Amino acid sequence: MDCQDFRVLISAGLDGEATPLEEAAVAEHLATCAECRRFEDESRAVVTAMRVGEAPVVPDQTAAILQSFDRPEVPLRVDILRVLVGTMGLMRIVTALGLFADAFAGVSTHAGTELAAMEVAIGIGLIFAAARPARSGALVVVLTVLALATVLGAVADVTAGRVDWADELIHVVDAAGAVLLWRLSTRPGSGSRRLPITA
Amino acid sequence: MALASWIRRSQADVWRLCAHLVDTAAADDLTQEVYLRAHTAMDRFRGESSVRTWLLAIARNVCADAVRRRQRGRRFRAGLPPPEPDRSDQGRTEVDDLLDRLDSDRRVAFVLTQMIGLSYAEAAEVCGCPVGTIRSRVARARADLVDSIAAGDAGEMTS
Repeated sequence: MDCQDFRVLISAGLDGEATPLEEAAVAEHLATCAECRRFEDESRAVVTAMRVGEAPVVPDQTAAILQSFDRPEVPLRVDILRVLVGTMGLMRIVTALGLFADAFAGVSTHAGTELAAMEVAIGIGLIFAAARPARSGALVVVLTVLALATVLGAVADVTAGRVDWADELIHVVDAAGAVLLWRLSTRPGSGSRRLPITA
Repeated sequence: MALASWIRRSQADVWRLCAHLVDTAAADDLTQEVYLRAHTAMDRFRGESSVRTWLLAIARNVCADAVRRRQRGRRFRAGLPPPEPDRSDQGRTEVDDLLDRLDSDRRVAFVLTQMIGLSYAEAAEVCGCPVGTIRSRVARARADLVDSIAAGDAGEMTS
């Protein structure tokens, strides 16, 4: 090992990063090498001087930084996923309006009005999810269960011949909507701003 | 609010790194840029490193980009003599002058370990290199600084 190598060890030793074996080797070398002894002294002095010399006041920019998070950096781009989810919401509301119209015309049962109310709720929920993906978690659960249940029910009814399968295709669309919503809510960047540390 | 207190606690390290790697005048804006990048990258943080080294790695990249932008600016003025770095005010200290003369890798390693107080292992994480590389860069930085000061003193003695 030449002086160059020893100086790397000396430097590490000054930072408490040398192993005991390395420290022993350095001590042995320093006993005989005046140049390296001088290097050690001067290194120590330089760093001390630099640490003493630096005492700038660090400004507290917490407020400004937090504000910058809420400011969107780019204007809202057209986001296909959100447009699709929002459109599905509109479709549901249109369906609901149809059902309400039937109810006013006296052509449907009470179940029809209840269904209409539910369709409006889901439709509005989907539009809200398209606007605020971060807050759509619960709706995903609701719609997934709903989609599963209605698809299973439709399968049962179709196989039993109670209903024509063509009429039940709408439930496939609803299931697709649930999948889209799930994608939207789990997309990176749509989660709430959590810190990656505990407490 | 946890996010605010984390920013408050961590911003000094970030600011100092930016001040030493670029300059004090730019440190305010650069610090904000660091946190903005960290904010968008937060979802991808998987805990492979500590939050501190993760944040400082982002700061290091922000500073490298800033330095590159300045160098590009200088190259556009090709044909003109390079402007003297502005030593007038802006809190430039002797420390900054000395650090300026270091090779950039050595400067980063030196500032991280000596001024921010990271261990060699942490500095290696920030720089994405082996610990041994940090070791040699810090040692070389020390040697270069000692030489700079000696040359400065020699200059003073003869003037």
